[in-house]
Amino acid sequence: MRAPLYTRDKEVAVTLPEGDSYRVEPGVKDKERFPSLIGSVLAKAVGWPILWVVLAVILIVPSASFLVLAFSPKLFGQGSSYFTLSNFIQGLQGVTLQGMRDSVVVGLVAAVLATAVGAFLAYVLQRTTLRGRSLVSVGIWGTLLLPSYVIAVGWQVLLDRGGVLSSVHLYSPTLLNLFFGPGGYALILAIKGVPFAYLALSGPIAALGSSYEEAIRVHGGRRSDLLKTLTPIILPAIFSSLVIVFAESIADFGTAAVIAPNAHFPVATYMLYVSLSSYPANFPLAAVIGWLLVSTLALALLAQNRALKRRGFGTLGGKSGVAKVKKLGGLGQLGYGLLVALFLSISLGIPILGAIASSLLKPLSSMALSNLSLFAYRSVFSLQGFSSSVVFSMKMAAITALLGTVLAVLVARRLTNGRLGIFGRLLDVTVLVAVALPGLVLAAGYIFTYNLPLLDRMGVHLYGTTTVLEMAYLAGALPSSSRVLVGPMAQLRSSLLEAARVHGSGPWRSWSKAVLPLVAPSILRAALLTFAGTFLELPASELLSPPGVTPVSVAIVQVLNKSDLYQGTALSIVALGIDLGVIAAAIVLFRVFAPKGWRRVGGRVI
Amino acid sequence: MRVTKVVTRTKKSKISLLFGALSSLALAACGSTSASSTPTTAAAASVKKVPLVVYAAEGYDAAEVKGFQQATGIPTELEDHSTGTLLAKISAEANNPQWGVFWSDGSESYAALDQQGMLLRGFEPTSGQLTALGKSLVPADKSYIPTGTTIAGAIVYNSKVVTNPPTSWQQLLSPTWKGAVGMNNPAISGPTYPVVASIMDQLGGISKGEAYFKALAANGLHVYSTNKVTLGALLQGTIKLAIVQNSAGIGFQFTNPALKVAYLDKSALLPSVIGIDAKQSKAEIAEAKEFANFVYSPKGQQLMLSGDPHGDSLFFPIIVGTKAHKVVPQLSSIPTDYPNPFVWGPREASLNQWFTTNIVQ
Repeated sequence: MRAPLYTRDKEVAVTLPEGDSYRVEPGVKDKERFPSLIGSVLAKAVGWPILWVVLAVILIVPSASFLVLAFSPKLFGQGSSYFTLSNFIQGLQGVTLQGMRDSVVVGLVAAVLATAVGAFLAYVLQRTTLRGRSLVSVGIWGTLLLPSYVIAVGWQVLLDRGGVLSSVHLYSPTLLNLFFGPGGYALILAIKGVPFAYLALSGPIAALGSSYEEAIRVHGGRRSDLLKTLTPIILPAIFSSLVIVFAESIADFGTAAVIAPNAHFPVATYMLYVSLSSYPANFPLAAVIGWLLVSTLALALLAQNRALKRRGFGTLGGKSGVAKVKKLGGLGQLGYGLLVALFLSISLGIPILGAIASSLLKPLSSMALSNLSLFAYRSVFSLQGFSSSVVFSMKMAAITALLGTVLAVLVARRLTNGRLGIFGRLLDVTVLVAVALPGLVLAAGYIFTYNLPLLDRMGVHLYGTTTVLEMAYLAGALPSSSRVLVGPMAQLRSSLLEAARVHGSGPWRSWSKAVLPLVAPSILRAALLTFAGTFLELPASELLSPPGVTPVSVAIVQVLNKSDLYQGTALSIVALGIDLGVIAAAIVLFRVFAPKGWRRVGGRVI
Repeated sequence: MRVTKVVTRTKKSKISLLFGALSSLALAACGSTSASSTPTTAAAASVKKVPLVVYAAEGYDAAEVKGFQQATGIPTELEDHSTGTLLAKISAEANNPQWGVFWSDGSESYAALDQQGMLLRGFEPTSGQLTALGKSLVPADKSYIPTGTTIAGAIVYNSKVVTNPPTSWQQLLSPTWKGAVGMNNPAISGPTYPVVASIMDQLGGISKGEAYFKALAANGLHVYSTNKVTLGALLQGTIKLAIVQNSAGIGFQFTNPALKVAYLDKSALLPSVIGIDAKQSKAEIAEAKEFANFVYSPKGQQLMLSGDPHGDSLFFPIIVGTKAHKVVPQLSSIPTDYPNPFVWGPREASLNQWFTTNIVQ
């Protein structure tokens, strides 16, 4: 979005990141970060410990309970020893270790690929005049919301024998083998990682003043020198992007479930799932895999810290000037446009078409227009109980979006509040490490924690209630939604609020008039991300929903397990449609009903 | 402790209770018909009713639970997931079990549960009489209750593509079927482990069985997660033969008449089984027994046959007087095998791990 920005005494046109509320203003000092009202009121009233208590209850204790099983299985009735290292010995060899190695390699490849593509998209959207940028922005958000298994299945439908390519005589076993292997696996993870990379990089790329570019040009530098000089300046953002995509990749199960069984390529999350699915479930081994995932991420964070430690990266200041926007001519429009379109077809176009085609295709028929039918959809609408599942999941997703966003604002505010200190760093690591733990681990951790006989004796009866399910949803959503908010929150400064207070405004009025307009779209975005993720969440829904209650994802799995593959696929698409429909409606409502000022200064939601 | 728990459930499941109360009202309105058809109702009414929690992975479980609740007025809460998910839940809840009845396919896991002392022993329903086949499926300590059976590993194929299906497990190793066979990973699909156990049993032991599966993998075996995914691969033409549960294959014939089901020499029996949680309160155990009796009753059998007409309802009945669906073949025409679940059950975790390590990966 282009908007006028006022710097000192002149008005300069600047391209703001689509939907992000970054501001390049003079005199930014790191310690002058601005606290949100919710943050400041809660922080003053009850202090930060309350945040830690909440995090402990919903995230830390359940995760730790699961991880402790690796060396003390008897503590939760899973073996005969209170202390043993045998599970680690078993986990650190053979196929489990191989799986971990594969996960790390694929995660690294995905992180590098996603960061490169994310940086390119951030550059195109923030620093060029490419037409249809808001559409690209919508595409990036669509990729973020689309479950990874939908992307994987979509590609499978395209490449499979009997799939779309084979119907036009382009079936290639080589391509199929490439997909069902490390290459395809890394590709899907990279696609899922691109939105995270984009979120991490778009702010810094947008805010990078043109003075650096001008200096290089003045000294006769070439385009390659520009890249060499500017890349280190945004190194912290590049590392953030690499780490978050790596964390998301090693914890991903959706892609692993589709590709791993046929790829002869073990990955950690698949091995974890296998160890939990036989009887008796091998929770201690699963916990060892959990430890491996967590330690790998800890190592990645350590590497990030070491790389950035002794260098200064302060670039946001009054003297860095305003970001320069590249005006694209006809060729530029075409070139950049084609590259962006290529990314969107790979990430969204093919998966969505694949999923829709497979749900429309008549059984045992090849891919051709005459073989498409709506029969699977007709049966969806006659399915009993599905509407109550939709209503239940919508309620839960709405509550999670509301509570989760408040929590995420608090976490993001703490992470961007000047110097982090020990607790701030701990919070950062906790929230990031939580990304690396698969949902299944957290859900199983909830059973061990909240089904303890001790709690029953104490009169705490949480297990088997919707409250516990809600807590698990919150814990699952928090890491991603707080990441989404960290960028915009980091850009806010206390001078705005102070100015409002100096002019006689009360705290609420100051916050709502000076700050809310700037962060409202970001907050809504975090809430929508949480809503989308919760509505279709599976592991916690399966393991923790109370008897007699069927969330949407469980209803879909029940149909897939029992009556009909086609009905199941159609049901998934209907659910995804409802999910995205709610999000689209929320965005439209925001555009129509949010005060004009909010929309003007805060930018678009997507 | 148990009493406290019941109170909690009462609090948290108002909807279920409301449903139960409405069902009771409906029953009262029906008058003598319901009472006479379910002799256990009157007895149950005199005892305080606690919610019965049923963990089930059968296509007809929802219909059965609804019918049971209507017939007895016992508030019944159903947890309907895949066998793997339910077993993981049962394992994780071992410290404080939440289930009263567990109902799924495959007796091996029940044998393992029994060896850990988790199942109520010595109970047999009296509301129906088992056939000779049914009696052969009852364990010596009566720790679980068979309710019907299917075939674990039947061959499903597209008759337009395959005209001459294989007849033995050994034939699958021939070049004819190179890269053409698909099956589920037993570590993920509950009903697939009995196929692996049966083949190993028939071949004379674990090492010979492992050699067979390695040869099958070398011949290009495809491994998927569950029946439906494997059948999906068959429909898409990725594979020519799908080794899946026969009821799933017969179910797919309704929408895909070109599909046919063949049975190899020998095919593993896969009984559907009920287990009762030995650690629950007396009241809930009594209700669980009543549930098993209801399943054996004519009404319960009828619900098993009608609850999932294109899936699990296509089973071979083992109660005298219950007739299978017409599309289900005569069991006498199929060479079957039933490896001892108490021998093969405890091996399940290690063999599934072996399968994942050596065949899937």
